[in-house]
Amino acid sequence: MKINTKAILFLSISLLLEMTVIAQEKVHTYVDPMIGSEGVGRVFVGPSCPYGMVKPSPDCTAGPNSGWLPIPKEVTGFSQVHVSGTGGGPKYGNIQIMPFSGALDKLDQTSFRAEENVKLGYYETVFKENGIKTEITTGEKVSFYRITYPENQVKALKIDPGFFLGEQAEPDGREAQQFVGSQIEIVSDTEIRGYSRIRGGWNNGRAYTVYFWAVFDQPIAKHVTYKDGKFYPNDKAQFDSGKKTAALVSFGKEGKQELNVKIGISFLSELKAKNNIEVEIPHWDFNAVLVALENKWENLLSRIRLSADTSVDYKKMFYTGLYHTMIMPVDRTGENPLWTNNEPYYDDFYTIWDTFRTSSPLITLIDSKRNVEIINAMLNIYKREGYLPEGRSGNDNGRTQGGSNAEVVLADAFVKNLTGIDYELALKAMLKDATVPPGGNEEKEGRGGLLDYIRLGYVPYGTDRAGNRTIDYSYNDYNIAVVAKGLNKMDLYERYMKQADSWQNLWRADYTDKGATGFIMPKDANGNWLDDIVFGESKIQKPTFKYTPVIIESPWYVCHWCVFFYEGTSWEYSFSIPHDVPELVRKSGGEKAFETRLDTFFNTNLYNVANEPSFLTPCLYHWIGKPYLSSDRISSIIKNNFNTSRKGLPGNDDSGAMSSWLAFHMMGLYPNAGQPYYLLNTPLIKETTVTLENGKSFTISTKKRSDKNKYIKAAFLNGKPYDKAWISHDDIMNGGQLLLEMDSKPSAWGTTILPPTK
Amino acid sequence: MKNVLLSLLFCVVYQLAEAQRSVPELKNNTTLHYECKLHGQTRALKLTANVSSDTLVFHLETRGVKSDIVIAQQALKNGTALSFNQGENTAVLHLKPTETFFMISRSAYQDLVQNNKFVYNNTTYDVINQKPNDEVFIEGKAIDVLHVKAQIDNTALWIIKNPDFPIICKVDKNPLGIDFTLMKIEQK
Repeated sequence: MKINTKAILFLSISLLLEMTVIAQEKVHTYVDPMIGSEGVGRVFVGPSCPYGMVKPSPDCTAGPNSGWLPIPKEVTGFSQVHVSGTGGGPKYGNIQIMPFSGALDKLDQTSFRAEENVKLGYYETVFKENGIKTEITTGEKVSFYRITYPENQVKALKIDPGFFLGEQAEPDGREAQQFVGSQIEIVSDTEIRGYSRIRGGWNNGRAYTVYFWAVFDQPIAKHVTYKDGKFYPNDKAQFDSGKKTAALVSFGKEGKQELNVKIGISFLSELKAKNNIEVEIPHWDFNAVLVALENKWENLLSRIRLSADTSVDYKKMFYTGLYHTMIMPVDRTGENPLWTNNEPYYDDFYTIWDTFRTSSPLITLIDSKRNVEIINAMLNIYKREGYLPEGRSGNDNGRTQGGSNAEVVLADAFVKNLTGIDYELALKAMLKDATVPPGGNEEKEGRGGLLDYIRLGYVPYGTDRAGNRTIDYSYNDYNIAVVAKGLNKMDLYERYMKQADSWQNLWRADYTDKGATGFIMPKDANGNWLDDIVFGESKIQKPTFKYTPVIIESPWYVCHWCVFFYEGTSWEYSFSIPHDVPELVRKSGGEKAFETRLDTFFNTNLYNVANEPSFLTPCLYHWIGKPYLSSDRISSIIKNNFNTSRKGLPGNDDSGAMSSWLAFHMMGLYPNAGQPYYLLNTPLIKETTVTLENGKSFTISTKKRSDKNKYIKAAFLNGKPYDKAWISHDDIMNGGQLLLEMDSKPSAWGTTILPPTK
Repeated sequence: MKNVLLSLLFCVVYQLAEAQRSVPELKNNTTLHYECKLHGQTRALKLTANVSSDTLVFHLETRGVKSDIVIAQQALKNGTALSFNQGENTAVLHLKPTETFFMISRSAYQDLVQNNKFVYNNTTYDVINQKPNDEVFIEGKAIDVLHVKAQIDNTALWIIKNPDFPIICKVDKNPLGIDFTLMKIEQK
């Protein structure tokens, strides 16, 4: 008895200690901003608040999209605005600073890094040449630099509003940012203000202006200003005359070696930038800013907890995935230069084509209030500018890639019952996309090729991206139908449900390739299928290329934007019918033929892990009653393509799209965005608990999960047998537990009640 | 007199320079490294030659594509058209007996030498008088080329003066959107 008492006491203390450790575990420490920074991931590596407007980071030349490149590449400076994971021409890279030592006589202060240290909210590097250490953290609208100079060195700093990423000599180069203007003024011995005005970039957007107000904790001892290649030692200001401006300042050798710099950023004015500092970081405590940032992230990230025995690598992959998902779009509420109201304002939807599938649904699961804000900002853009955003950046709806995918985001919010959104207005905005051509620039917003789509039931070849526009519009029409039905507008529902079948008009039923029958293929306006397509603009030659389901015709035959399927092949896009998989299965020749088709797709490298169009495809085995095959595919895709290294993402992260795909699958959930359910797969994590905003929590647990026991044998939702390989959003929001019993062999679980149909 | 001397000197220097221009050969395993400008994008492309009595096969490698482009002997001799097919449809692409790839036919080259013009893809190309700054260099070495321009589409071609294998080492203003420049020649 005595022994038992001792044992119980010991166990209790151990348990208490373990619980304390778990309670104290800060999940933000698992975020590694360097995952996906090298190779194709292109993630932003600097500090950022959740959806933070300011994103300070090194710029290693003006070339890279995120600004950063690995050592030994040189550092040109540190600018305050960046994006994450993007392809195409770079955007932003505004208001660059660069610490240096020495005379104030040259603008180029490029240095090489001896070392670099990055964690969530914090960036640090030491330069080889001069030993200067630069540390960065940030607030929402204010970046904070702590610069330590070696003893007896002149503490100098360049402030360069003339710098920006993606600069090219060619005027109006497509996707290149172009300089419009800049100015700078040394306001006092501790303050400098100015702005940078740039246009273009990936979305070919109109000019945007980034205003700044920089404050120093030491007085400027000496300065020169700069404009258009000349230095002006006696002038404290350089006004905007369409030329690049800058200032070089010195704080002398005396006093402390540490220089603190706060840079307030605003899209409204210099004084607003100053106000942002006063409101957000009125003090000089670098560590306090860092801790505040960490706490913001901790609050969000800890809403999903993984079982304690989860490997460190999995924790890093998962929490970094959540982190990447929540750094864009950016919250610019109160910083809108285009109109004035009290509504939330978000920018850098980069692009919704990328993010609607997984990023947006993940934000709904973690932080639905934030998604409501983002959606209201989208609706506000529609109200003021006439169209919902698609590829918006620099305060401009600049670009569409395929569908009018804001429809999916709005429908997803509707079917998941997000409150605080005017769905009547949302439907109106969706209908604008679906009924009113966007005018001369069909690339900017709305639906290019709309009139043909309505008249013919498809977008004919000759209109850029006719293939994916047709199938994306079909899905967007389905989204409209869903919202219309929910708002009891049955005539609209009927019309758009019918239009949602438009993808079938490009289904070439008798076309075969690699044993598969039926593909989405190009058709002209007269209804002729096109096999040999004329390319080029010669007045004499009319060469042709053969259109096949595997061809990517860009850039050899046509431009990147002029293809039939954007960044993909017919093999990929012919699976991309998220609202009508049963009909797709039927058209492909039935379940067996569809399974073979999927197997061919994955086994012969036709699947492209690096891009979004195939995000749902590994789950399509669910619709033929074989969810275990989906799980096998997902497990192998993750194992072969995702890891914790700097090259740990297989494609552009695209504002967290790739990362959120991973995070969902690690939990065993996958959303079919725009529809109110998640597909269930074998989780990579033993147990995941989501703390919901309604105060409840939902846990996905596995029993006997191991490398061998990778198949779901049985499931129990709140203790009751659950035979479906999908779960509704409502079931998750009701809270509780989904227990998955695992086995080494595939079972009959989830094979009979297939996912919902349209 | 001074001007005459200077002119003579210029002629001598020009002739010396002319004499120093090289004519690259094409043999088995010669690899031609091109840089292609394609609708605003830049892609590297490699062609490795396999010369036989019947055919010339170019093993083509560029991002996402590997293909053997087979040029028939008949086309090498008397071809009348350039193929601009990237070869993405098949591992081995047999061109039509009238088609060549990255080069013109020997008969077209003879036409060019003899008549200062030739017809290819129904397009007439005329020789352009070479200006001093119009020279083609590959890895710093001047290449002996003929510079021609299409009468209607204005496409400019620079063709190596190799009667057996008149390789096109540079294309500019191709209305098909495929401009390329030979950057390096490698012999294994």
